[in-house]
Amino acid sequence: MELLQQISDQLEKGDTVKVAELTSQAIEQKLDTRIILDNGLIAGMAVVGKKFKAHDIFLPDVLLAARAMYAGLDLLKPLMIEEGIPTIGKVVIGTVQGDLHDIGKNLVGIMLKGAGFEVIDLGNDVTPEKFIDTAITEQADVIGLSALLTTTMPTMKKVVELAKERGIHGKTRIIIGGAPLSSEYAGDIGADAYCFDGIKAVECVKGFVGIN
Amino acid sequence: MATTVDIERNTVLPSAEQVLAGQAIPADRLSDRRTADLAEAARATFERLAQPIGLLADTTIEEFGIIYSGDGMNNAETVLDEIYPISRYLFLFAITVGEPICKEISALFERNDFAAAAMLDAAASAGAELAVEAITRRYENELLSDGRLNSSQAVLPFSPGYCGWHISGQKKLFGRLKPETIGITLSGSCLMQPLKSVSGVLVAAAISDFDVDDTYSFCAECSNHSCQDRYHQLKEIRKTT
Repeated sequence: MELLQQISDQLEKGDTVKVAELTSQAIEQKLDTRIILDNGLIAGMAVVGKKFKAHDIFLPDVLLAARAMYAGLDLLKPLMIEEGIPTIGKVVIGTVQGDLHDIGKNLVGIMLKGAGFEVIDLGNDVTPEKFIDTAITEQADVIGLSALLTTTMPTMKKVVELAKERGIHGKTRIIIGGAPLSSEYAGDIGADAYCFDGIKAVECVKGFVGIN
Repeated sequence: MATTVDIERNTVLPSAEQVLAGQAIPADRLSDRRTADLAEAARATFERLAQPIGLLADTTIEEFGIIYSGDGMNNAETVLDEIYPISRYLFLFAITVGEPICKEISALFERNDFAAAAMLDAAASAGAELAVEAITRRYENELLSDGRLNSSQAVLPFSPGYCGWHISGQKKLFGRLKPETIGITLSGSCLMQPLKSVSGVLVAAAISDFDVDDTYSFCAECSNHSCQDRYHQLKEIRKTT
């Protein structure tokens, strides 16, 4: 178990090389893949998330930790597939049609992956149909919509309306994020939540899939 | 008639503090070696890849009134509504720091180099703001030096998407200014590409005319109330010159 603590500690420090080395060691020692993931990588990112929320660390520290997390995750992924280990949930994210700003969406995706979710990133300029079709095909738990432009905000409403038409509204939750948005707007269009940042998005999505 | 404005790269290179500010990181965080290295790397990449350029065209109060009205989606009362009809001069502008930086930000994300990508994104945004500041001050100095403005007057920029000027106003602004000539295009949703571009109007007016309340309906949604800082900075600059 000390090895898992080391993975978590090195991930917190954002040391990509050491996290990869330690994850390899854990795999060689035949530690359970799920345990390496949960008690090593995800545990480390959870600490990072808490420190970020408390303003003890800042965005670069979170992103360096995320990079280290990805290095470990890349090693575990083949095993997870081989062993049929499910992720804790599936989230389809994208920047809505007409909008090409994607840094906020990227950061949310990074945080969600760091928390152990499978993230299907559709990129930017994504049509409502693409969001809903993908969510249905992938049986996603949550759809995450991002927009920075006021002109593209109405597209979010179209996604919600299409989710209702296609019968997934309420089953597949919809979260929204972006500078011009608010909780009020989320309520107005029938989205399930407005998420100010990646940490809030992780909290919301965890809540929707029943993880505290 | 629009004029292309060359903007020197070193005039729009943001400081490390400005790069951090764009990510809500306090300046004292530069004492952390890793953060300082990331900020310096972003500045170096910006210096290598930025291609700042601007476009400027004078306009009349009447013509700007038509441009400003856009698609009729502005807030009922705005700062510009009060200022532009009593302005001395108006210039439409567009600036960009170019496409290569935007491509590099995407490439860094692709390589999982998230911290470097976010840092460069912040540097490019800060650089674009500095480019607006550069052309604003340049034309203010020109107007002051040839006597068209006096020391109680100044120039400030305003952009669609802010302070009640609806972003759909971009369409008429682009129709008149033609920023495509410097590589900036507008999408159907009024999004400029390259993303790190800014457009709007430079307003030359009495400094006291820029003393606006931040009590408009849209001010409640504003996170920085920079209008107040801009006015006070103008007053301070003139006090010391």
